[in-house]
This record gives sequence, C-alpha cells and structure tokens, in this order.
Amino acid sequence: MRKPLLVAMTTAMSVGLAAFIPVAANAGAGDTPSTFSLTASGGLSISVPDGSVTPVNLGTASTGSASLSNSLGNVTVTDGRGALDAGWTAAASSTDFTTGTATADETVTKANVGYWAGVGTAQLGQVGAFTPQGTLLTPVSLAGTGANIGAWLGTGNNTVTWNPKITFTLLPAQVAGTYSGTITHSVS
Amino acid sequence: MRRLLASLAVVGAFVVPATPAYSATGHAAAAAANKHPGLGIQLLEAPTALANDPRARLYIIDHLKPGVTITRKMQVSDGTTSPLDVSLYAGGAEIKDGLWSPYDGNRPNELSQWISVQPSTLHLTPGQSAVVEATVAVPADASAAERYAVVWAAASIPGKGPIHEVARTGIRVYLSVGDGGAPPTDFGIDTLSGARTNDGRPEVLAQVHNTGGRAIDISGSLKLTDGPGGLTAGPFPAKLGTTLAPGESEPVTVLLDKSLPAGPWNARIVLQSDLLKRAAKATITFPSAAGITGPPVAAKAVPLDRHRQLLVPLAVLLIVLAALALLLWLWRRRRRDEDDERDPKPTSVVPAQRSATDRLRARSR
Repeated sequence: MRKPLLVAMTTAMSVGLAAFIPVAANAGAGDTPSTFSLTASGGLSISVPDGSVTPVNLGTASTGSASLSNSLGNVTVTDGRGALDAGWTAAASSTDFTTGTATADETVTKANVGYWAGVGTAQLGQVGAFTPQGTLLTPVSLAGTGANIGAWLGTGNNTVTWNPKITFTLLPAQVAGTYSGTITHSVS
Repeated sequence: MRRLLASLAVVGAFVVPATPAYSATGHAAAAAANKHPGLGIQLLEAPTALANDPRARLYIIDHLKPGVTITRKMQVSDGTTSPLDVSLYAGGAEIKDGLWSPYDGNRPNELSQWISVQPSTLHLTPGQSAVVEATVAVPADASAAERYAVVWAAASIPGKGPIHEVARTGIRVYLSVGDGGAPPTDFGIDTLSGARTNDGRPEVLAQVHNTGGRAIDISGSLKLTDGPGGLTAGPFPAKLGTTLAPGESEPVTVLLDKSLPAGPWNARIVLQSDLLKRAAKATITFPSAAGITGPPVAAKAVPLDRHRQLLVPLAVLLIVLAALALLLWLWRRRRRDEDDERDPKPTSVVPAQRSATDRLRARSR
C-alpha cells in the first residue's frame, strides 16, 4: 500500500529533475529565428543638400582673400536599424575645386578644403551622441582619402542633422572665377 | 500567436525576390521614403549560424574558409525627391584609432577586390527601392586574417550650383578567413584611470585590449561604489561604438556627472561586445584639475559568466537534497507503520481508521 506511493514519488522527483536540466540547456541555446524578427525596418540612409531647387553655393570671396568659409546646407543621417550598439561613422571627401582651365592658380586643391561638421542636432529622446571631428578653427582636411568627419555612438534608431562649415584656403595669386568641385558624404 | 507573428516576420526578412526587383511606387513607399530621407541601404540577409550576433543583422559578418563564396541580399532605396542613378560597388576600409574608417571612393583593399555587386548600377525614382546582391568570393590561396570593406551605394545628387554633391551609404563587411571554426572573440580590461575633461567633468578611461581574432564593438556601463561618505553612483553608460581590430588596445571612456566628489571610489565596469561580457574593478580617484588624466590603475577582472556555472549546479543540488529529505521522511514513516503493524492490535482495524489512530498517536507524542 505504502510502497507504490513511495515509488511514484521518487519517479515524479527524478522526472522533474530530468525535465529541469534540458529546459535549462534549451534556454542557453536560445530560439534562433526570433532574433531576426526585429531586423526589418529602415536601413542606414543619408541625405545631402539637394541643389535642384536652390543651387548649392558656398559664397563669394574677393581675390587676395586668405580664405573663404561657408555652410554647405543640411546633411542628415537616418539610422533605422534599431541596434543595441548603434554606431555609424560619417566621412567626407572632396575633389579639387577648379575654374577656367584648371591651372595651378585656377585650382583650390582638396588639401586646402577643410570640413567641420559642427555639433549636429539629434532628435529629442534619442540615446547617444554625435561627435564631430576637428573644430571650427581646425577643420578636418579633406586632403587624404576618406576623412572621418563625425560619428554617432548610441543605442537604437537615430537621426542626426548637421550643417557643415566648408573652409577653402586660397592662394595669394588665386584667379577670379566660379570654382566648382564635388563633395562626397559617406556613411557606414 | 506570438510565435506565429515572429516566424512571419522572419519569413518577411528572409524571402526576397531572387532577381533585382523594383518595388511599387505606391503611397506606402512614399511614406516610408519620408521616414528615411536620402539614399538608403539595408541588409536583408544574415547567416543563421550568427543568429545570436546582433552585429550580424547590421553588417556582413562571416568566417569563411579559403575558396568559399557567399552572397548577401540588400535593399537600396531612394528617399530623395529626385530620380537617382545609383552605383554599387565595394571599397576598402580599416579600423583606425578605434574608429571604423572606410577609404575614399572605390579605393580597393584585398577584401573589396573579392566582392562584386549585381547589378552594379540602378536607376531609382523617388520612393522606389530595389534589391541587389553582393557576392564575396574568397580566393583559394587567401591567408588567414580578418579583413574589412564596405559595400557602397553611391549617387550623384542633381543640382544646378557649382558645388556637386555625392551621397554614399554602405554596409560594413567584417570577414574572417581561415580553416576550421571562427577565431575566438575575446578582450580584456587592462587598466582603469580617473580623468577630468577640459570642461571639468570627471570621466573614467578603461583600457580595453582585443585579445581575440575578431574585431569587437564595445558597449557597457560603469558603477561607482564606496565613495566618500559611502556614496554610490551610476550606472553610467560607456561612450559606445569603440571598435577594436584584433590585437589593438584603446581606451573606452565613461563620462560622469560634474557634481561627483573626487573619491576614492571603487569603480566597476562591465563591457560587452556581442554576447561576450567582461567586468573589471579598481579603486580610482579623479584628478582635481581639468584636462588631467590620473595614473592608470591595474584593473582586477571580475568573473561574470561563472555565475551561471555556479547557479545551475546549485539549483540541481538543492532539488536533489529536497528529494532525499522527502525520501527519508517517507522511509521513516514507513518504518513507523511497520512498527505499528508489529504492535499487538486488533487486525480488524480498517486502514482509514488506522491512519486516524496514527495521527492521534503522533499528536500525543
């Protein structure tokens, strides 16, 4: 009478114990696919000043000026990837700016183009910070290949807008004219 | 129901048209474009083997044997107000001073030359998006190492002024090459030092050393305890996004509140890259002058993952003990019953009555 009860109790005990171990092991392995269900929404995008409505222009300087500095217009990076460790770096590069036949005095080499992103404006409530490289007085030189101009370090979706200050260092013999060139913004 | 939703979402994330297909320029697409203005790119595929790796959702991350080829689909979208001619290509990248640093233009490195994107050009109208596929073909004679590149979508933004603009957005590629399994991810926290920024805010610098074979992206937090008057502060988030290549060592900074007293404090920092966590502690004091970094204090590693290795066996042990106690109790009861049976008692007592007498007897003892 008592014996079967005792056996039943022990069996229940060991079954309970056995059940406990695989459950713990399963929890460790994790249910693999559900990790991916959070992925799909937006990506990483960049918007730069659109010159089709208002031409992008960096102002005028008289010949003999040492430099010309002006704001380019808003650059916006939107990161909709929703990552725990959400980071991206923004880089800028430039071509030489030339006028006429692009002789030495008709050229502002890219080594003489400086870039400062400024503090940047993040949307309210975002977690993280945008750190620009360089300062207003010591902008990042676009001489090299792919200068980092700023980085966002934070958590979750984020949108950051900055209006970069572009500085051209001019030659004493710089020729008058409309100089044109290309500025590339990259985000990854 | 929740599981069903999750699996539906997964299917959505994985099943994409096999050939580059253009999405409809519908109302929804335009609305989505407004949410993500500009030129956008998103990874649509991740390896199931790296399902637990959050970075694998954002970047192309893999460990491949020489001679292996993989493909990854990604979506490129035009969120501008103009039609765009997008070019797609891979460019080299490196990790420099703790920052991800892609090269300018399509300047290649070894890895970027192994990557091709199909199609290599796209024409997108505002609000439109298309799926492209990147192929990474590792040559059979590739040497074992981790390499970095970016798959770029680049477009010239139309304009009338003298300044032309190009927008580029890309997906990072962290590719480890070698035979056997993926090289281990590991890092150590060597030292902690108290410092003060130029504007007088205290900060903690944790020197992190990547001792594994893969690049790591660090995040984490710091807690201060046992300060002056028994004060406790934090947790303060670590400045995120510090990227370290294998073998590299860089400080991770944690900016603190200006009102904190100088110390000494017991600082405990927990840092994480993907699923790997490391903790360390040290006693630090913040310098009194601004712009000064105090001497680095050797950090003592605090075991973190040992907790689980300890807790699970402990729980098992407790359950076994409980089972033993129950068995012992049952066994003692049974012995007592047997003793009762040996007592000179009328055999006509029915079991129910007998147990009632047992209870009475037990109470009287």
